[in-house]
Amino acid sequence: MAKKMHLGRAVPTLLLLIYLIPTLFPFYWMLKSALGKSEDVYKPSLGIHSTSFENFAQLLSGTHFLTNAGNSLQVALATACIVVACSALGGYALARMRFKRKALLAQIVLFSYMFPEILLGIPFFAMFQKLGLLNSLSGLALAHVTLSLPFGLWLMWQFYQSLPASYEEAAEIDGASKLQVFYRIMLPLSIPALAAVFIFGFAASWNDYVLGLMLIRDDQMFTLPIAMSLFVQQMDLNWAVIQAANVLLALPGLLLVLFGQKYLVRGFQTSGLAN
Amino acid sequence: MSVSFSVVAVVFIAVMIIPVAWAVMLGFTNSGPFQSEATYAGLANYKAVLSDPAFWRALGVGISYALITTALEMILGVGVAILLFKSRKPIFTSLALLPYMIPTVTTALVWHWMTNSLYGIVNHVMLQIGWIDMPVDFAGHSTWAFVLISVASIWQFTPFVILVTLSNLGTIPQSVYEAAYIDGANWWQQIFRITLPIIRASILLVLLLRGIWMFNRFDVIWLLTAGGPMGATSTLPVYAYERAFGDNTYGPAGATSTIIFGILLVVGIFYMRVFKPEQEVARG
Repeated sequence: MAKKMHLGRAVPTLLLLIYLIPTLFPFYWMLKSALGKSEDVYKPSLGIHSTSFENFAQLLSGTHFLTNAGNSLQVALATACIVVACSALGGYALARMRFKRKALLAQIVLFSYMFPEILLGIPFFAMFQKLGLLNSLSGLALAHVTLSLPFGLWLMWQFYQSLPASYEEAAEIDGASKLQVFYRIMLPLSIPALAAVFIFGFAASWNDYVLGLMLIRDDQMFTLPIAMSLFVQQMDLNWAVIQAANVLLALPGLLLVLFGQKYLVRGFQTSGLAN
Repeated sequence: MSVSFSVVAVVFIAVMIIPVAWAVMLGFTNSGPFQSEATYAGLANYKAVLSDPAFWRALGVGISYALITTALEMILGVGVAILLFKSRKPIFTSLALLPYMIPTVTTALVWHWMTNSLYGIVNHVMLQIGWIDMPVDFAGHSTWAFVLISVASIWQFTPFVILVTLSNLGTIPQSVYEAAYIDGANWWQQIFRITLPIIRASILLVLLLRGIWMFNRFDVIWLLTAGGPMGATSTLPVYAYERAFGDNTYGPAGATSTIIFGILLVVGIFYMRVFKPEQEVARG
């Protein structure tokens, strides 16, 4: 019996390791290339032979990495703030207001979550050209809102629905206005869910390539993913420097998964994707 | 409350609804980035797109790409989630989720580098093992290019299925398993008779989302192969992008986008009718 229990734990662990090795290898390869000496990068071998930070130094001195990172950061922060504000207000209104066709509205929100970026990007380009918003970070932030607003609205709608209406009723009996109820009671209660929406909005914008590719044409305004996708064509940059940039681009997301895994899983439980 | 609701409704319509309506409108006009006046084109753009062999090829490539990647993401994702749930090692979960949170540009640049024909580690290892005699030019060979975009996509998007499935497994009460254990159900029976039937609805929702998202995928493909060689990895979004920014005409791009939207709408409505996921939210 004891042996059987042991085997029962060993087989899943073994299968997981078989899955994890190819999952983690690209990360190892990215780090290894980034941290190796640049002359070693074109001698493929699995082990680590040298470590240095020269690739990171060359990245910061030889490219506009910091300017592009600054652009990405501005756009991602603006996107996340707009999405949080709209999701909080909209989610609360959807959860508490009574009106006909609520099911249809839920379907539209869920459906808009499936819109392809390309379907939105081409008309955004045509519209922004008319409005003069091409090549502008605020225009890009507005376009990035489309990536996470449906999910944010959906998540907050589910979240406010899960809070009992008796909180608001009690406050209203005490003479609070609807607006006060929202700002003083419901908003503080929803900070953990709003943090999840903020992170999701930030990540969706930070990671975006498609909309940036279409809407930004001026290399001073490039966000990080667009600038890095062009590194491949730059002859003076070797693959070690490109992988160094790759490590820095991926770092925020990697840290988030490593330290916030528990909250990610819980966030999805709230979203109703898990029921 | 109704004021704030109106503000959000305006934002939602401005950023989600108007662009889609605009894309549909572009499909019925002749216009482009270097044309100041748009003229009505009727169905000419649709005729041009539907009579283009490259469109039908892109539709076929897109469907096979979506089917293959979605099937493998679902099987791997659900399987690994069940194993992770059983092993109860949070570090394994964190590691398995890593590819989900990184930008697609990172994915593309890593896989691009690993499969580099001269210095890539994949070619190096395959040569050492003796699987190949000559280095493979992954992006330049039609079958290998398709394998490359599929493997990179599965690598990046399987963690989404793991994440949602894990969230679901966490909601099943432990007492269900205890009852099954007392009744003598073994591990396989517990998975196939209890776990999977309980989370069936959300597995189907994830299947729909992943299928649609893979069908709509543009970035991984564009960055790794740009739809090449000779259109072998060109899907409908790649086809639409090339019409808009390669040919500089909005008409065929708008028509293609509208067709993609139509496919999406049909699949979405079919799904909503059959599974009714919105009832969970719209009860209140």
